[in-house]
Amino acid sequence: MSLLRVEGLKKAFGGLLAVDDVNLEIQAGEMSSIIGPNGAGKTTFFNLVTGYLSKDSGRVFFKGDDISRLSPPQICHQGIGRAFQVSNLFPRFTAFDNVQVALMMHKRMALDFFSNARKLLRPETLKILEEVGLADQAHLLSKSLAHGDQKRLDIAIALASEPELLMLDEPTAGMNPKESFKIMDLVAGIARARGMTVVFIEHDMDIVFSISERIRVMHMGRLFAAGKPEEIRENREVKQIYLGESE
Amino acid sequence: MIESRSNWSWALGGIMVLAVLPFFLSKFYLHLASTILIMALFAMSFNLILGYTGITSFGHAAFFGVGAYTFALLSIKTNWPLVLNICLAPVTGALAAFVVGYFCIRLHGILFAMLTLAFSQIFYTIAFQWYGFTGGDNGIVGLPSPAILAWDKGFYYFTAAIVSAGVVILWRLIHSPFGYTLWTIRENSLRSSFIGVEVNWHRLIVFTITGAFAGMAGVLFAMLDHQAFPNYFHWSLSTEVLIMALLGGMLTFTGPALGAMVVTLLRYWISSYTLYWMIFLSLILLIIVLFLQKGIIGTITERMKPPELRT
Repeated sequence: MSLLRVEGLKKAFGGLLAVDDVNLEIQAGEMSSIIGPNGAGKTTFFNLVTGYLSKDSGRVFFKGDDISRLSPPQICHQGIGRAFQVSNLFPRFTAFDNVQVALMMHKRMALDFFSNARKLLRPETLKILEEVGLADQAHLLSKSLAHGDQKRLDIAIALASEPELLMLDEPTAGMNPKESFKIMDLVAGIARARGMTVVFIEHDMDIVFSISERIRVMHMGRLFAAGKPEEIRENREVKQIYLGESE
Repeated sequence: MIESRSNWSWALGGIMVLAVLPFFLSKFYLHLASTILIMALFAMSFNLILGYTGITSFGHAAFFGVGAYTFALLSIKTNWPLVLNICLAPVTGALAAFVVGYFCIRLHGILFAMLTLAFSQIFYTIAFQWYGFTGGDNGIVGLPSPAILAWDKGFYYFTAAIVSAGVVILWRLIHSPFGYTLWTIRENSLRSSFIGVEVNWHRLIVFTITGAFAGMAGVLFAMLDHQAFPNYFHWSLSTEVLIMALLGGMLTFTGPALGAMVVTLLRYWISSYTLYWMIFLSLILLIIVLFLQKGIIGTITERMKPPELRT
């Protein structure tokens, strides 16, 4: 059974069909990417699946359950984690606090009014910071971290909710190629270690083709092609609409 | 964050100061001290939404007034025990906050502020106009109170005990996981929802909690002078509590209490020279906005932090 199944997903902004009848299935354990030119509807697709935007039509199933009508916090608790294109942190708090609070929410402590939060889940928090390589910067305010480290922290926050499916929206945005590969290797390693399914949006073709087990191409809101990297590489239409433009 | 041991010594020092104060103050200044304590509780609890959650309400006096009037009306219209009348006031304060919050909480920024202002003015108008029930602009005066609380030192200690308990509860609250969710909402409500926080539900809960505290402050204020007036609901009190929090520092725990002290003292002193107290309140607001954006305590604690932890 597929982990995520999307059926007939549609979303229009005014007259523009941002996501147009997308159907896809993501298998558990898969490392896949979504590519496509700017404005193809990739981020909108993420926003629809994670409940941030309402769907015009279509349904989303996660582990067989219909999650189409759930809110972002409910979907988070179902096991879908998300990191953002522009780092989306709690800026005036330390890296440690950022992850710790996400862990608390995952453990459903949101309505615990009297425990001393500072003392909760410290080893677990540190473990996640170690996983993404931020342990030695745990005490720094998240807004004073370097750009690449902010992206790592963004991923760490998503990891705190122990997602079965991690959706990364351009995890390498704004990084140099060396950093980009480092962070994607890190993600791949964590995914293997945790048995986590990952789907990421990416523009860097070297990364896409070297890391994805499966690639989906979006173009003008539609899912244009899907397949293994070698299939996508050979697909003439994909080359025309996408690779042709960037090469 | 300050080490917990020094927190304890600060708390202990504070309690000792509160305990010995009546031996040094005249009747007038003891009354003033009680007023400051009540306003400190009001401002600190208000800061739970303003500073910690990032919600600006222009109508918080409504719940202060509801607390005061609940107590005042019960005291003159029923024979219920005093303790019950006191305890019901934070309950009605919370209830009123829940109802108002229910309608406002989906709105943000200026819309939320304006709607809370509108609601509070409805409360004000009811208190001001409904002579048959609330006594209208005559207020409710001559509330009965037992001898121990009519005695100025007795009432002071009673107030100090309740306010201290309230401060302890607030402290625990903001350092609990629930309190952590509040600052995630303030810092980044979008991300907050993506780590699993039901943002609007949490906003409503915290708004209701502050309603209970405002109600409690309202009771104490009604008991202080054995009276309740419609202006307890008035928007000018809502802005005053806002200014207290801003002046002391809305990103600090104790700041609003200091703000309450400064504003209340200035009000008493300036009012004895001129009727135009509001001009000075406006001046304070100007000074905060132009020079002291982090408030008094906020500015001081910021200076004490190592540079990499400054916000």
